[in-house]
Amino acid sequence: MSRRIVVMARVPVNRRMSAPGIRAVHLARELARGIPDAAVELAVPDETDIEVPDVAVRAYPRWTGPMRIVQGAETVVTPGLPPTAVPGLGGTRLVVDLFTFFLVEHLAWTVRMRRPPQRWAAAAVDARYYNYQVAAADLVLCSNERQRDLWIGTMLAAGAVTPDEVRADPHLARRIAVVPFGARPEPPIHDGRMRVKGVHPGVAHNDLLVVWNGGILNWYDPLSLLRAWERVVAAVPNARLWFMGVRYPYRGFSEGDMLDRAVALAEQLNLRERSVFFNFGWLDYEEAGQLMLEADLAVSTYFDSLETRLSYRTRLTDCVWAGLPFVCTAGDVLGDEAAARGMAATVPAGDVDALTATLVHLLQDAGARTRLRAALEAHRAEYSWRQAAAPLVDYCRRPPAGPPRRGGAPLDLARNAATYIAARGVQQLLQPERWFRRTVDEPGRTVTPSQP
Amino acid sequence: MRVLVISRGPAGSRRSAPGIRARAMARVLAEQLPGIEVTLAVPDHPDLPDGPYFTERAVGARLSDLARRQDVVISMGLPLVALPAALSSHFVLDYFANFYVEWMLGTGRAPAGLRRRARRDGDRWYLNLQLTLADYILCATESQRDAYLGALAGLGLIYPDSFRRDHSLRALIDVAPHGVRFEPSPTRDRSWLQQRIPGLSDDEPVLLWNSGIVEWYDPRTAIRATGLLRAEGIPAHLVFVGGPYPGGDNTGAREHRAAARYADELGLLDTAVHFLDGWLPYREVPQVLAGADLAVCTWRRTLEARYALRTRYLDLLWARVPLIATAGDPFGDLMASRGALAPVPEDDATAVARACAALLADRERRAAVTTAMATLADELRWERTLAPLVRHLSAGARPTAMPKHLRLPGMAARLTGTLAWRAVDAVGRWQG
Repeated sequence: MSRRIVVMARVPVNRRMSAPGIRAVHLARELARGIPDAAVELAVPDETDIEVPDVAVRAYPRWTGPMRIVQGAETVVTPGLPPTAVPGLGGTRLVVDLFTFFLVEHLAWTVRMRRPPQRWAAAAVDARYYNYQVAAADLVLCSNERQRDLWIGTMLAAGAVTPDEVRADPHLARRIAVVPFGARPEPPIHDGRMRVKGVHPGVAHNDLLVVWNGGILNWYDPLSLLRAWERVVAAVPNARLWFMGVRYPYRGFSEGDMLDRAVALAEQLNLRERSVFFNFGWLDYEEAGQLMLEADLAVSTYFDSLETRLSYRTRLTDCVWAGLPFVCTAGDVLGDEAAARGMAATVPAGDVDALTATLVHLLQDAGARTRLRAALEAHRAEYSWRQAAAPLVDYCRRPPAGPPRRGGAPLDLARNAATYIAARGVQQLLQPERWFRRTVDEPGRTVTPSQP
Repeated sequence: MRVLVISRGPAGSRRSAPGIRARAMARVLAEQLPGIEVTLAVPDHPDLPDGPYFTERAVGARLSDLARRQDVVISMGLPLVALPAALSSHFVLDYFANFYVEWMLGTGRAPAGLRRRARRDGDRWYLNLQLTLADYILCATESQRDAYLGALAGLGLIYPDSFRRDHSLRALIDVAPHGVRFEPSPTRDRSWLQQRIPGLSDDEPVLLWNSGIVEWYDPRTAIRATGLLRAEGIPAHLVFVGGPYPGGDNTGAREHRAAARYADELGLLDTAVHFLDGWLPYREVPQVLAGADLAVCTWRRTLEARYALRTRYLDLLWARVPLIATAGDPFGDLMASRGALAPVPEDDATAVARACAALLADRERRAAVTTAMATLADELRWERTLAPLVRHLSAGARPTAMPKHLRLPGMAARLTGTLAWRAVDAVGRWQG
């Protein structure tokens, strides 16, 4: 039987997918390209309308599917192994892709739970989930070196790394690898059709278009941007700020109230529909790319938070793909790297004056934008999916000899899975008001009601 | 406010990083927060305090008694006898290294099988327990902080309310690197070295290895490099100061003997490579540094390096002794990027010898390095590095960690785990 490598997504993968879905598609693609003798599958919950070259895409039922999918596979790559899949594992090697640091996302919504025991339980459930995933994994993936430190810390505290492993593999390269988010593979070619400029009322053909290319969650800071924008349009009257796709495509995903506050502030400053536009809803993946090719600049501002320190912002990767110069808050791994390479400009968190000055400068000085574009062009190849996925492809091409790691302590995985399930049970008991709402699935993919 | 700093290592005349750091904390807090009463508890005979704080030798019941009467207790690990203090006072955990990694690499010395497992899991449960007890945590580098954040997440200790109050979680866990010595830097004076190394002349270059040797250090490369310098006609001396670590468990003794044996095999022992016995009294260290031309620190790149902040580098910064060191740890890389360190690849004696020769031959280059060292040393004064702790206490030591009563189940479980594995270890040791 040929080698079967499965990428098991845990969120919808379709044409309107967001980062986790995009990532699953590209990892599957790179695996198929890098390991031609393997049969690579992309397993997607519920249903899908996507096709991936050289990859067999199949939909699976959420509850009963995972066990059958992992059965008999050589390697499974998934952002989180559902406990229902454990009985099917056998000799399958497991790669857990912890690329989203969902701890912060979780904190942002658990903080609104009313009773302290509920908040305590939320922290406890997350902890059980992490411990269970790192106990199950042969290889953990993360998206930058800071996250790598973080997960190494989790693994050490959970006893999921042994001294023998460290002696044999001093950097733990075969236990935890950095696989960042890659830029889209298709060439960034504009199809010639304008989506906003000269099309949307209020945006003329020769206006300067600045895009906010992603959602607005609570750790983003559109408010500083809007305050700066008031002064930017005074200096550059034909500047237009376009918030594209500000609502996430998951049903019920809680965005917090930052979006509402941003809209309210834009109205209060009398900017909305004059120089600031909100595009509600989520843009089609292709359309979003085309809109970025149409734009003159991108901007992304956020707070100096734990999220900023640890995240890998895929919206910035998208700018790299589009060769679109961007202005972002300092402190983000990719943003700082881009600034050091002359591909972007960074400003201190919350510094409205610096943000205003930087935006005005870049909007007024076409030469400066051209220089940033040239640097983006020069470095684009380094941000490709092929580069990003290389450690995973290497690992799957030549997996370590011997049985999967968990074989050494079979009870460990069972115990971790059981405590996780038990913790989830306790959590449900502590919040009876949520029993009848849709709050299923593991923390990474949690679907939460938008109102607490 | 009454603050107790518990040093878990010797803090008297012979002290290593834990003792040095605890004393610096006591001094800086006492100097910068006049309203508070600071006591430093040490396990050995206390040296005279170097600031407006009290020192006391306190272990066992004495320590537990002392700890109970405090508002704030600061330590790199609360001794089990003093555990009740974690409930009655505000406990600041000073995790200035990635102890998970360092201690785990150390368990290789325990006999294989159950004893080794007991050592490893006993350590792990103990470290987890400390994180559970902590109301505020300090680390020495950002990578250590990231790793401890991961540990906290895995232990269920990142509480949503902490995040609501402070989105960066810096009010829960922050970074306070090691600082440089308080005193002015020494001027060049070789007499101390000349007393210990007969025949050492004033113009023979001295390379210093200025601390102990543990698992991950690679003294062999430094020794080979010295041989290469000699072969080129440069009469270099490599001097190892700081034998086995103080504190009684003989850490580093084996590695020290192995290094001496290696120097002997190469025919360099006592002629070009010198081992000065015993851990140096803290007050004598400046005299050693004053006699050195360069320092060398070579090590193997392991997980440890990722989290390291080598305190020996800080002494060199302070004394302006240019350092040649293996590249790849965050603090060394910072020094190198500022021109205060000459980085070399791992396991490359030729590169070490070349870097040494270049610095020895070029006075201007050396001057540039020492100027860079002076700038960095100024940024790393203890008053600056400990600023997060001072801020935290001056703001009233308000905890943002998970409330203690919610941590009780975790504390109980992790205390049980610690005691159980320690018991297994003790039984194993007793049996043989």
